[in-house]
Amino acid sequence: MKHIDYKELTLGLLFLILPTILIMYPLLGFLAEYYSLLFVNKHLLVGVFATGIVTAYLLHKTKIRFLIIFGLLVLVLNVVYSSISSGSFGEFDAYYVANRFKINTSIFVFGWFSGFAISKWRYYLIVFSILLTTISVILISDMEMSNVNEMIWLVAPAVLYLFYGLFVKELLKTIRNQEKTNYLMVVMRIFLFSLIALFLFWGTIQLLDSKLNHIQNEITQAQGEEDEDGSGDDKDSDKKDSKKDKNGSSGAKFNIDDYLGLRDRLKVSDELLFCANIDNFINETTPNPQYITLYHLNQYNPSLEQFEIDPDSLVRDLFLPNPTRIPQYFSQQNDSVLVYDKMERAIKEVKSTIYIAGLNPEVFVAPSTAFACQPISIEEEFKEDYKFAYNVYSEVSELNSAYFVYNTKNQSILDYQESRNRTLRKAKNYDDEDDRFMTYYTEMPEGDLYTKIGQLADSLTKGDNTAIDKILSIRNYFLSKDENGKQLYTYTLTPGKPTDPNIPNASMLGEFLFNTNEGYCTYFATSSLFMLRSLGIPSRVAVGFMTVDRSHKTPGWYWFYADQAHAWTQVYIPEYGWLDFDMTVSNEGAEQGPQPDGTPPTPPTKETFVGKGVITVVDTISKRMEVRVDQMIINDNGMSLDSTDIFNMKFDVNQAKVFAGEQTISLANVQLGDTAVMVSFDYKLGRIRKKSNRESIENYMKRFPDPVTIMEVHVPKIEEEELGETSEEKEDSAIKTITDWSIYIVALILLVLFILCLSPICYYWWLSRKAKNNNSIVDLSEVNYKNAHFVLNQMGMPRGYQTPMVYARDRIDPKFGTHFEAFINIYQKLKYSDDELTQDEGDLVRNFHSDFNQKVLSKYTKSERFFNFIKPNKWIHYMLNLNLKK
Amino acid sequence: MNEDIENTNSDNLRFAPSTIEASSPDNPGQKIDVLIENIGKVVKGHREQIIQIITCLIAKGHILLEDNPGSGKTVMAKTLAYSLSGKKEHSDFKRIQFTPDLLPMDLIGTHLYDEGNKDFIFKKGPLFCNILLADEINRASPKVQSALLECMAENQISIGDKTYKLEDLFFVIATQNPIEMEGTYPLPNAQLDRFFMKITFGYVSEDVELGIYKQQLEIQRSQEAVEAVLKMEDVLMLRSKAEEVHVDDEIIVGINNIVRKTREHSGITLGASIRAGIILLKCLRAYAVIHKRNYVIEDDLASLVRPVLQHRLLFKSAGDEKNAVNSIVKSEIDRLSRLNLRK
Repeated sequence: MKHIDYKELTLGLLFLILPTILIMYPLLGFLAEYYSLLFVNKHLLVGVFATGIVTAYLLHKTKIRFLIIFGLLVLVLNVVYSSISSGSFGEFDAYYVANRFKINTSIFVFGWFSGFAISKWRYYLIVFSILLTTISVILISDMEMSNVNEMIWLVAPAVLYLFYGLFVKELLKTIRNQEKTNYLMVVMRIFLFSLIALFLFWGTIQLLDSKLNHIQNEITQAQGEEDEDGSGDDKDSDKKDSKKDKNGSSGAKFNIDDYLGLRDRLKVSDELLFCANIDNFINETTPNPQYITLYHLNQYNPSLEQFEIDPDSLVRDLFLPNPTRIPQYFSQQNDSVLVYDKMERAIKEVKSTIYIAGLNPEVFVAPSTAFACQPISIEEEFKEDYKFAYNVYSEVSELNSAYFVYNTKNQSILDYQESRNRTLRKAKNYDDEDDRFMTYYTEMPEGDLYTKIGQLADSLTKGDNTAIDKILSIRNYFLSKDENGKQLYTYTLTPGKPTDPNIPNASMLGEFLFNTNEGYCTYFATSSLFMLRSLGIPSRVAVGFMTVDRSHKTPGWYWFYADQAHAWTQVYIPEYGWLDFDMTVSNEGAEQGPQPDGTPPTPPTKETFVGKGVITVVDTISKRMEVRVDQMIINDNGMSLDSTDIFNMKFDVNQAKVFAGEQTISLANVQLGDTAVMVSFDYKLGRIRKKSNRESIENYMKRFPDPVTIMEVHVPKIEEEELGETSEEKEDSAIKTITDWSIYIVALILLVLFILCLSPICYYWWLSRKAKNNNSIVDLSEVNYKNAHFVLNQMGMPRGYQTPMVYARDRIDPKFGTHFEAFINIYQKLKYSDDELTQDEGDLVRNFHSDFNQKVLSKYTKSERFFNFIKPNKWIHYMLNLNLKK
Repeated sequence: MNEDIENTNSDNLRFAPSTIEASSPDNPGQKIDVLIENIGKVVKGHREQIIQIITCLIAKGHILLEDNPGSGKTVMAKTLAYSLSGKKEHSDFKRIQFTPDLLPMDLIGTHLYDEGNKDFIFKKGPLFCNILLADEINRASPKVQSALLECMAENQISIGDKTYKLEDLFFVIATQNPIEMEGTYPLPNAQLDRFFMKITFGYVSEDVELGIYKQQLEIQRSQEAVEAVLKMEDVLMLRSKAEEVHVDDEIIVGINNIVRKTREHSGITLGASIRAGIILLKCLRAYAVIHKRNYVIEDDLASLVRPVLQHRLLFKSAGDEKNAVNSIVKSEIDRLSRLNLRK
């Protein structure tokens, strides 16, 4: 038993162990990289693994006392480990050394075990590759890998390795049973097999390439969406735009990006995006609309003639919360914008209520300068029209107004404008302003065009001393008429490309100002911006929505359609802050009639009590809930409870509606541990007031009824709901994959059928070739025997359970007139006797093949022959029941 | 399906190519053909059974024919006996009609007192012959049956202190009526085992039967004038030739497999004994000789397993009795027929 076959050992080492190590290489690499295994280098890891596997394999193969050594090894390693981890040298070192040692040891033991198992168990490799694949899959999911190619490179080697390993293992096994082995042949075989396997794999990858790309795209897309969903608090507006692109109804039609730059045409739609109630009036009667700002554009790209959002803007007076992330009735506030907006005089606080229809509710729209947002609920009857609503509190200058360009006959507005101009003329000049601020907001790109714009501005504002006069002069320039009484500047959505053929890359801005005088709002805003800046007046472009006062029935209510998206100039006036000055001339072509405005949604009943906290009890039978309240609003007085004050409140939710996001759900679906907002409109609660400011919350709360009757419960969107959406998508993709897979399966079945149909023909050819080329009478007899059985089987006359002799004598010879029985006699003689064949018998065997085939096949027509040959069921029957056994 | 195997026995010789074995007039194989022909003249439509009987004869065994009265058992036995020895030399053929009152001494003979010599002399019974037709064996008492079977097994008779050797060529053709019939003493299984084969005749096909009626006179005439075509020495020579027949290892494995499978088969309560296997092997050799071969082929196995083994086995049900052996043979024949030539 101590006999060792060194060649086999070498082969095993070379072709089993080496590939195993190689296979582990990328995986260990990934592991080391991804889990940043405490300074462990992947080469070292592989080395350790290799040592383990090779030693174990050699030991097991050379039949040295294996288990004892293994036991000793484990013991020694364990002792060393415990001694290291309890070692007295520096604690930190000890920890890392011990851990490194642990990792290395486990890898080594794994290698050891693999080497042993590969040597000992025939099918260990299956387990091994399943393990590899599992690890790979875990890695993929852990790393959130999104690159299909990487995935394939991680998983495919394990699969390929399985086939390779099994093949080699079986080959080595057969070698052991053979007396003499041609080792060169074995090596050749292994190489050939690997080549074929690799080629097949490569071919599959190539074939699936487009498919893979498709999958890759889908994954990337899915990830992109995921990212966006996750970046709710991200204030980067770029993302918001892309969100708008994606987001359902508004996406296809409305894109604020269009207003960022100067283009040859602008597409607008008339979808209702939102409506707003802006509580801003002149003299408390005349509505004073405010433009709705989305964001400010501070950076200009002269080569693209496009504005960009400057993330590092000097003045951060833009409040951009994500309204959907704020609990209902609770407000998010940013007071820093109030510092940045630099308003000091003529300030008032304006409350607006925004009802979102087509717009993405995650996009915050408000009159500038907004500083607080409070989501509110929508009355039942308007739920269909509006998906979201919130109150916005803005700090607005009394001097700010949408009315600047439009000629209005309303006397109060005219008066207001006149007084405003007067006030502004008295405003301070810019001498006291911060230099950086001035530089930032008066920055002009260099170039002939901008010098020319400066010259134009200078000529227009000759004699004007104050900023407002200069602004008015520029406005008047845009509104002025030529000698023929025609408007100098006209509004068009399709300004077209520069027409001057001499200037290939002519500036759209130059074209607008000095040639066509046609453009849309962004053109006017850009032109006036640079005119103002050239005059040293700090200004910027704002993008948002133009507010048009259409309805006199419902003062203060404004409707915003997609075509109201707008860009305009904001000018900084010391002490008064940023004021809107819209230089855009009115669009005469589009004034056929304003969009019909809807009925304004009635504001919801005033909430008297709002409590937010974690749900602790949900009783669906008696309809009670208990919530650990940490925040409350009582009669608009918000109060935050300290962690010590948090207490359980009982609520009666008999009449309450439970909202998860925008949807109503049943009480049973409320999950314990979620944060809930409990809303009550009970006017009685409004009467309970704090007796004094000093009264403790506890005492105050004691005066509330127990339980408090609640009308609305808001819980976070149930995950399932999101899942529902995604599962819908998933369903779609699942259907797609199912169809894809069914196509694959059908193709596979067809392939199998094709092989099954084709292989009998190949087999027939192969037999004929063998019969022709064979000189050995024994081989020839066997081929003939096989051939006869095969042909007869395909022709629908399988032997069944008859003995060959009887079969030949009773069925075949009478039918076909062949010498089958004689042949069978000879065959039996060859098989069961030691006698030599006679000359006649030899001749019969030699001539039998062609003679037999010819005689049998001539009984069938060509088509019969063909169809009989390709019948897979017969072929399978032959392979299973009639084929010779070794 | 069952018939496939059973039919294998039919007319194996007819198509055997004559070119393969060199024919010479002295070839005993040829003589067997003549013998079969000879018997066939009288016994119509039972070629298979004729061959089986001759197989037993050459395998040094005995045969039990079982069928209803009037199916030609006795005629068959008589014709065989006459074909071997010639009608005129009656000494070589004896026939005993078994009856319930038959005594063992009626078979083996008895000691008579010789007045002249003042001594008992042994009067040989009918067992001292070459071919014995034991007609309706199951009508005799078990005592007589066992006496006969003992002789068949030992090929000698011991009476008192003397042992009398039977003829070298001692061949018993026993017939019996189906056990269900009245007035029978069924042979115990152990005794059935002594017979190499138990075959049934069954009714001949319609055409043959019609022919029998038509040619009744001719058949009767040829029955009366059966010629002895095979001498006793020829039979002995064939027997020695059978011992030279080559049995391939795979065939022996086949025999072994079959015998063992009968023991393991779920439908068989009592499987075949080792003796059964040995008898099967002997029969195969004889069968090969009859077919002028000096080797055994799988077809021989297919033809002989059922007649040799069937009566030795005990089955659980009637269905098993019909199918069990066939299924075993089928699978074994399938294995053999798919064996590769290269060894």
